[in-house]
Amino acid sequence: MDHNAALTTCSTSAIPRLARLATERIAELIENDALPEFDHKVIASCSNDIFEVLRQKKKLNHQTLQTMCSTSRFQINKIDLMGNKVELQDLELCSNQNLVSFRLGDIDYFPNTNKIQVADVLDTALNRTSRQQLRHLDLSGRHRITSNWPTYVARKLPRLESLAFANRSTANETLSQIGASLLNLRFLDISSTCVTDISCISSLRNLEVLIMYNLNILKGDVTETLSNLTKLRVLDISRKVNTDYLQETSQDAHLDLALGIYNRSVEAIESGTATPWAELRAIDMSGLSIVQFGTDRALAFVEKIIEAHPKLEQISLLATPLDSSLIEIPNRNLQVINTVSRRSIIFALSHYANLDRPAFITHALHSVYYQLQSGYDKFSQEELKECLRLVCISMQQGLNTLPVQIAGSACLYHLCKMKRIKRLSVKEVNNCIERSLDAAEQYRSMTQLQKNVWLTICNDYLLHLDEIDFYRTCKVALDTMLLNRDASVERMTIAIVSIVTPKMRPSEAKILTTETKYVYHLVKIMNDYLEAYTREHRVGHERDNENALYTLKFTLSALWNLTDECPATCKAFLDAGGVQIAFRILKAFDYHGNVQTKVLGILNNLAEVEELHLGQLCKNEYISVLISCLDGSFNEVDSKGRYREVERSYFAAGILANLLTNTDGWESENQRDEACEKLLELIEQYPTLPSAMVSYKSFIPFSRIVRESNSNGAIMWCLWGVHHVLQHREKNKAPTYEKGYIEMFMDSGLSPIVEDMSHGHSKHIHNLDIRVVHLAREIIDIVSCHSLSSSPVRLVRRV
Amino acid sequence: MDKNGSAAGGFQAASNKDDGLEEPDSQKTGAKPQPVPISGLEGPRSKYVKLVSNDDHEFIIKREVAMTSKSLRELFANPTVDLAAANNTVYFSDFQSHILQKVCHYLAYKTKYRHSRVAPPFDIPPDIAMDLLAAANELEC
Repeated sequence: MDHNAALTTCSTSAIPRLARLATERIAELIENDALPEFDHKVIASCSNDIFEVLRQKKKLNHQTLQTMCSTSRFQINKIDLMGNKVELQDLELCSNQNLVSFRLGDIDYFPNTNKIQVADVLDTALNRTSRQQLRHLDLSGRHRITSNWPTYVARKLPRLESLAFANRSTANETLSQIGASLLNLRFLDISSTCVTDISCISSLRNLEVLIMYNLNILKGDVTETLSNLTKLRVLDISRKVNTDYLQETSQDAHLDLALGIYNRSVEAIESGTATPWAELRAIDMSGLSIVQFGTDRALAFVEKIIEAHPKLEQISLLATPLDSSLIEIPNRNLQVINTVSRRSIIFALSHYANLDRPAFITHALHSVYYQLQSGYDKFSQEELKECLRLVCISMQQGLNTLPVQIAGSACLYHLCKMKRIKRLSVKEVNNCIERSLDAAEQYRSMTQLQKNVWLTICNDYLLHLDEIDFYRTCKVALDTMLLNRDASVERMTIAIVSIVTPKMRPSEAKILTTETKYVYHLVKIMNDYLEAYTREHRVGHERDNENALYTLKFTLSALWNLTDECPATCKAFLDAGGVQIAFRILKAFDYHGNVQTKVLGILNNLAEVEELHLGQLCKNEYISVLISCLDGSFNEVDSKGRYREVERSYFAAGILANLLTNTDGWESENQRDEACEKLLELIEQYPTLPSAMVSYKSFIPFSRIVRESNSNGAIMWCLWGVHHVLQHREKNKAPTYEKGYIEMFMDSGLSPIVEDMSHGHSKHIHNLDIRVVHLAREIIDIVSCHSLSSSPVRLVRRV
Repeated sequence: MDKNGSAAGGFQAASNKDDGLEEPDSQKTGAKPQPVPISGLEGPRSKYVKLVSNDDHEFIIKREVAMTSKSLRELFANPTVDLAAANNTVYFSDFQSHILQKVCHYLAYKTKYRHSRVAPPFDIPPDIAMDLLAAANELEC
C-alpha cells in the first residue's frame, strides 16, 4: 500500500464561485459605506456569509454593524465577533437581529471590574426572540469574564444546546452551575480553562460533544463521570505537549483519563459487553504522553480502545508515541490522524488548521516542512495546492502564535522554492506573500522568522509577477529593515525594496518616499557597509567582502529608486549626509563601475531638485570626480551585454547637466565652461546601444532643462536621453505611463522646442551647438516616422 | 396561454412564447418581422442553450458554459419533455436582463479561466451586487 498516494479529493477550480465573489464585493461595499439601496431582504445564509467576510477582515465596527444588523436589509441569525474590536454600544446593534448563534470574542467592556460582564453583554446583544431561540453560545476568549453567567444563561436561554468558553479563566464553580442547570446541552467546550474537576457534568446526559483540550483535571473520578455521558459521539482529551517537570502531577492526573477509557474498553471486550460510549465516533488523544508504555504497548493500548468502540470513525494521535506509526484495523473504516504519511499529514493539518490548537498545528506544519524539504518531486499538483492552502489557513488563524508562524513560513519558503512556484497560480503565490508579510509584521524582531519570510519573497519569479501588492511588500520590507539589523535579513529586505519600489503605483510610492526615516536608515547602511567593505577588504575574507558589496549595491539601488522624482526623499538624503558618503563611495569604488553608476543615479536625482540648491556639488573636488566619471571606454561590453561605462558616464553627465542649469555655485566660469564642453564631447561619443539602459516615469526633468538651460552640454544630455528611450520604445515600456514614450514626449511640451532646435533655433540660448541640432533632428525623425524597432530591453535599474 | 411544467429553482422550462397568434398579420399595417430561427438549440445534446430573462431578453450560450451552474447542469442533464419541446430554453421569472447578462458573463469567465494560472478579476458593479448574489445562489454557481 502506497501511503503517499495522491489524495482522492476532487480538484476544484481556482475561480471562486459567483456567490462568493458577490459576497466579498458586498462586504467591500459595506466596509466603504457604499452599499446601494435595494428593495429586498437578503436571506439568512447569504447575510451570515457577508457578516463572516467582514469579521475575517476585522472590519466589524459601528458603521458596518449598523448596516449589517439593519432588519430592512439583512436577516442574520449567526453573529461571530471574534477578533474584532467591538464595544458595548455596538453590541446593541446585534439585538436588531434574531439569532440562533452568538460568538462573543474579546470585546472591550470592563465596567468597574477587570472582567467582561457576561450577563450585561448578553442582555445588550440578544433581543427577546434571540434569547428564546438561541442554540449556540460561544464565550471563548482570553479576557477574564464574570463567573456567575451560567445562572443567567439557564434562566434566559432555554433552548441553548451548545456552549463554549475555551481559554477563559473559568474554574470549577462555574462548571458546577452549568452541571446543575444546563441539562439540555449537547455540545460543551471547556478547553484550556482553569477547571480541575469535571464531576458535576455527569448530569449533562444529553452531551454528544465534549471538548476538553489541555485541561488539567486533578480531582474526581473522571471515568465514572464520563460513563454517565452515554450519548457522547465526540470526545476530545487531547493535550498540549508539555515537558515541564513541575506539572508532573497534572500530567499523571490527565493520563488517568485515557487510562480509564482503556480500562473500560478492556472490561467491555473481556465481558462481551459495550462501553458506556457506544455511540462514540471520534476521539482526540493528540499530545498525550503515553510514553511509559512504549510504542508497542501504546499501540496495543489504542487498539483496545478502537476495538471496544465499533462505531469509532476517527482517532487523533498527533504528537503521541504513535505519531509515526501505521495503524490498520481490518474491516474498520477508521481515520487515524497522525503523521505516518504525506497523505495523513495533510489530513492532520486540515483537521486542526481551523481549530485553536497551535501546538498541533505547529506539529503538523513541521511534518509538512520535512515532506516538502525531502520530497521535492513527490508532491502531486493537488497535494501541493492543498498544502499551500492549509499552510496559509494555519498561519492566518495562528497569527498570534510564534511557533505556527515560524513553521508556516518555513513551509512557504519550500512551497515557493525553485521550480515549485511555477506550479502555483498567481493567486496562490499572492496568498503566500500575504501570509509571509502578516508574519513579518507580527514578529519584527524575530530573526529566524524574518529570514524565512524574506527568503521566500526574495524570489525572482515571484517579484516579477504583476499582481503582487508591491506597496505592502515594500513597506513591510522597509519597516523590517529599520527594526532588524541581522545582516542577512537586512541584505534581503534592501534587495526587495530596490526591486519593488519602481513597481509601485506613483501614489503609493509617494506615501513611502515621504517617510524620511527610511532614507536616513539607508544612508546609515551605506556608510556602515562602505566602512565595512574598506576595512574588511583583505585576503581571507572574500565572502564577507562579497556580502558587504552585495548589500551596498542593493542599498544604492533602493535609494536610487526612492529618490526618483521625489524632492522630500532627496532632501532627506542630503540632510542625512548622503552626498558626502556618496562621493566617498565614488572614490573608494573607482574600479566598480556598477557601484559608481548607482551612486551617480542617486546624485542625479538630487541634482534635478532645484529647491535643494546644491551649490556644494560645484566644489572642485566634487566636479573633478564627476568629470572623471564622464570618461570611459564606451564601446566596451561586459559579459551580460551591457555598456557599463556608458551608463556610468550618462548618470554623471546628468548630475552635471542639472548643476549647469540650476546652480550658481560654480567656482569659476572656466570650471563651468570646461564641464559643459566635456559633456558635449563625451556624449557625442556614446554609441548606439542595442537595448535600453534606463527607463523614465516622465520627461519632466528633461523638459525643465531644455526650456531653461543656457548650457549646450546640459541640453545635449537631455536630448540624448530622450533619443535613447524613444529609440528603444517598442521593447522598453515606460513605467506607469501606459501610452508610451512617444506620447510622453508629445505631452511633455518638448516637441515644439526640439522642433525649433532641429532647425538651429532656440529662444534662450544664442549659440546652439551643431551637435545639439543634430541630435534634435534625429529625435524629430523618430517621432515623425514612429516606426523604429528596438532590441530587447535591458534596464539599468535591475540588479 | 399558460406555461406548462416547472423546473428547479425559480425558473421554468417552457414552450416557445406564442406571441401574436391572436392578431392576424393581415390586420397590421406594419407586420413584426418573424424571428430568425437559430440552429444548434435542438435536442438533448444541443450545442447551445437559451436563457430568457423576465423582460424577454434572450441569451444564447454554449451548453458547456451553462453547465458551470449546478442548477442548470442538473436541469439539462435530466431534461423534461417541456424543456426538450422548448428547444432547450429556460425562462427566469426572477432575473432581469442585466442580471442574467452578468451571470452569463461569469459562466463564460469561469469556463475560460478554469484551468488558468492567471485569471483577471471579475468585476461586479455596486448596483447589481445584491441581485447578483441572489441569482448566484439560485443557480448554484
